Amino acid sequence: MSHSSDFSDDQLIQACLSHDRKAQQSLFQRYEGAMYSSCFRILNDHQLAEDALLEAFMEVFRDLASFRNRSSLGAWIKTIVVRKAILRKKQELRFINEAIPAQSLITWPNDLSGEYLDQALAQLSSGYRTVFTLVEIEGYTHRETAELLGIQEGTSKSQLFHAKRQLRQTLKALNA
Amino acid sequence: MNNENNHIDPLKKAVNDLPNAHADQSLWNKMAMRLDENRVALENQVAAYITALKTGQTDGLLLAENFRFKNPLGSDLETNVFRNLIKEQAMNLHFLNVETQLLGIDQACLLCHSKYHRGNELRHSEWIWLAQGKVVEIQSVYNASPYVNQMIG
Repeated sequence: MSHSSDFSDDQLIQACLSHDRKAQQSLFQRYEGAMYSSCFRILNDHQLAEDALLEAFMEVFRDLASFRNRSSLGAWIKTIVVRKAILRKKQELRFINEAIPAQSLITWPNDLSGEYLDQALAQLSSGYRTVFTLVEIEGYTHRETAELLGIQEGTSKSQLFHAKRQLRQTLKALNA
Repeated sequence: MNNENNHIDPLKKAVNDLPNAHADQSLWNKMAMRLDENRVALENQVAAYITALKTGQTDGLLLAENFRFKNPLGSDLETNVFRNLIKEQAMNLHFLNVETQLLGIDQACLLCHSKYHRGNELRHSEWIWLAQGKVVEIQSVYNASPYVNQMIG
């Protein structure tokens, strides 16, 4: 089997289950970019992100036969990757259910760029960055985020608010 | 998915424009190396288990327990290795011990250690048959337990 990008996920899965190394490579490289970014945004460290990604894909290849198409393959892999990344950071993640002030509206500049946001994200504390990444970037609900992190849903909401507030302050300092 | 108010639209747009973090170009090579290392580790581990079985250093339950918690790679290799291990075990003197465990503890399952395969008595019978030293079709046994399915795939 040739493994160009024309092959579907299903075709790659079948080939991977037969231990076709080229198929494994194709599958890995199909998702590597997005998954690495997810790891890096949670861990903020290239070496840790790399380790988490490799560990996650070991699990992906090991459990591929149990993938049941209940979600897309990408979503299934993403869950494994995100869990691995969180596990790496678990010891230092601290979440406090801080109050959300009554005046909680945060306004963002209309010309806010992804590049500036990226810089500001790197300066967030681990807890804030993780919750922001899970909710705003990865699209998890607060309930899902709370389950992933082992915290209360209210804590997830509170962390997201304070993450945004801190992001806004950092962006101002960056003149974004 | 998360829904926020309209006032954060610029944030949503910036999130969509976030640049990808760049991974090491040789990441696949590292992945391939890990896959190879794990395969070798599994083969060595299985060889050690078989040796231990043949020399009476362990019994089937211990073997299954070890395999369940330590197997590093799910694959056809694992399935085949597992099938061979069961055959080894069933043909080994230790099958008597396994039989005792299976029949003595309310028909506990060798693999998942649950007392019953719920709603699937037939499959369980096959296990018992296996434990009596008759190597039957192992593949059907894989369907006996959700846990086994998860483990074997």
